[in-house]
Amino acid sequence: MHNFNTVVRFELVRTFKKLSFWLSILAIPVITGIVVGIVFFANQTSSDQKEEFTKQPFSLVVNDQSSIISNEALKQLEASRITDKEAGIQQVKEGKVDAFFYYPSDVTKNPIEVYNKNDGIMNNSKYTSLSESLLKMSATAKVGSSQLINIITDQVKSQQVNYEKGEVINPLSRMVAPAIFLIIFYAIIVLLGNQMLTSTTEEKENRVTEMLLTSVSSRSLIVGKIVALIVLGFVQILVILIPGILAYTLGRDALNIPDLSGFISTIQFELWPTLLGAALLVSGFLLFTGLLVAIGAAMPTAKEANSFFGLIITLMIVPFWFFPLLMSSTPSAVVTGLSYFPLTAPFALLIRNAFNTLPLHEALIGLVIVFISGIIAISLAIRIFRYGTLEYSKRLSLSTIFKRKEKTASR
Amino acid sequence: MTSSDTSLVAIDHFRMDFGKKTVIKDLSFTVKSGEIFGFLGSNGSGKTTTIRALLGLYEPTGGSLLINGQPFSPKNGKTLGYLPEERGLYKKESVIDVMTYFGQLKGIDRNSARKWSLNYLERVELGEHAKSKLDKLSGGMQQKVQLGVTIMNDPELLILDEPTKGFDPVNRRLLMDIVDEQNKRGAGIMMVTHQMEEVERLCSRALLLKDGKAEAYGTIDEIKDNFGGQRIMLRFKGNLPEKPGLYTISHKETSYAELTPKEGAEPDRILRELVTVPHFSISTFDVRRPSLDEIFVTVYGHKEVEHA
Repeated sequence: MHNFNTVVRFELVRTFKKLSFWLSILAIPVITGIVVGIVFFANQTSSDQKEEFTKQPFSLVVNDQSSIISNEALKQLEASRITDKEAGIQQVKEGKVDAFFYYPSDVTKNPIEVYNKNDGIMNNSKYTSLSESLLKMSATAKVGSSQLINIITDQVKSQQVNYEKGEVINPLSRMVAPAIFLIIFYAIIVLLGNQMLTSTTEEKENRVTEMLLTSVSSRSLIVGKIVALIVLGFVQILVILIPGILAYTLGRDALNIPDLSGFISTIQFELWPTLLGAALLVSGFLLFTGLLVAIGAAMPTAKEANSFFGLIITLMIVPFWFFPLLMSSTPSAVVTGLSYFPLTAPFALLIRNAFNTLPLHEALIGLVIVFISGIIAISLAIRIFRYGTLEYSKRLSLSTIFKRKEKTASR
Repeated sequence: MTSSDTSLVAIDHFRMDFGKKTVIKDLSFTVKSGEIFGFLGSNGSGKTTTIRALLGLYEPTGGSLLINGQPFSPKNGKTLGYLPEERGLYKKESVIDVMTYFGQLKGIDRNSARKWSLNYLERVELGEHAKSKLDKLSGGMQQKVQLGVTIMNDPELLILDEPTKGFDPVNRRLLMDIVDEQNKRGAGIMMVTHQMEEVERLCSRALLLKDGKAEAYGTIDEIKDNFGGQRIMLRFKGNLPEKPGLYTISHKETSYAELTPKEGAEPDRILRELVTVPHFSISTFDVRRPSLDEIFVTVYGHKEVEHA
């Protein structure tokens, strides 16, 4: 394609030169870093405070109407019993003790009453936590079996082994590879959607099309722009991923990130779902890009194009509202409809592919529909760009687009 | 009229319909190498449509439109410099980047395009704005940049659609100097303009487009001969006699009149007749052709010209 490389280079270089581009993509890792930092700092502070709290001398009196609180537990806390509730409250008021806990006769129906000196908004919660811990410790001692307590409190784990055709399989591990394509497609829509839409409105708004089209064909221009957008998408994904990878490899312990190496080693790359995921990603990208470029070329300004952008995005993400249905292997008219309607098909098929609920024949039909729709959308985009961008201040009607004959295949 | 292989531009029986509306009915003309050709017409007469069809942006309904003997395609865009009526550049990019990009699209390597652009910007007194964003420049400055982009590949054919639109008189002069230079270098120039004095000064040939057809076409002299012929400006004393066989009086005051000679009546014969009239004396007797401006008004009428 004539001048294709020049178009791609220009589109890339001018985007890389824009401060707004870097600010927008660096915002995600920077904000993530700040949030992680705050969480880390908060955890660290909370942990330090707990340690400090246990070291602090603590005076406590308890009135137990439930008869659950054990003497051993009270002894550990150096707490003492008091028979009169009002006297306990009075002791706190006078600063003679730090806290007074009142356990009603039925703690399942009435709340534990906690009276304490004010230690500040962040520290006051330690008294309620302690009152509940004291009750749990005493209850455990009464049952006499920590195992039974764990069963009752749902602290039991189970280990599952799945067989398929006699082989042990891990559904989570096998869904990772196809799910990557689903995530990439979603990221493309979120990160590049607006850029795709405005990539052609800019030529129209600046009235530069006529000069451009005497040096470069509309096809080279549109395809060049799309290729540049793909490269930009990869750059954005890398800029977002690299800090995460660095944080995992260099600061996993400091940031309390779980060890994923065991899980990563179990990831299975199965040929068919991986290939299907890749094919759906490419076809869906063609369809999505073609539609957005076509809208951009047909509308006189980016502002007007944006209203249609919202509609397209809404239609494309409709499958997420039917997530449970798409995850299920049970046949359903809704699932089939979502899988065959061109705008909803990319996400519907990618979700089903990731959850291994997509039969081969439906996969092939859906893929063909999305691919053909993508090709039609790109062709339409090129056509609308050629005619639409010459109608600088007008919206282009469909009849105008189709009435005008294409000059030659090369243009 | 048939297209000529030696013509830079050859348009032959061009017809253009948009749906049921026929914009160009039947148009044929040529632009020769090295000439400045005026492509004239009122607004909406189809000039821009013709140019867009010539450049392959529109598919013609009928006829052929050739540049250097073949239909235009971006692949042979190196030979063309086009300044469209609807003009603009990437406003958020720097002047030098945009000029370099268009230079590359026209087949010039990056360094040469950059070097040429910097020299041009110095010449048009925009050197210090090379790295400025285009939207920081005034409209006139942007026009100069656009003109630079148009001529930077030393094109064989320059198509200028209302090139002076938006220029102040100083920059208009600069632009015309550049157009003149390009012509002297050997470029053929097809110019759409409503400035008839520019056409008279610069163009060797012209075409007046009306109702989708060539209303007048040829050298400027031929067009003047065909439209309005000669006029006589007369200053006199006495009573100007009416001589219907010789002339009609198109305008008359007490001592001044404009006469339009009848076909076959030469001005010297009219003068001989008038000097023999008793009690009538002539102080000045000027013969002149109508200006293109007057012809334009004659062809398109006052109403259309007001819109042009």
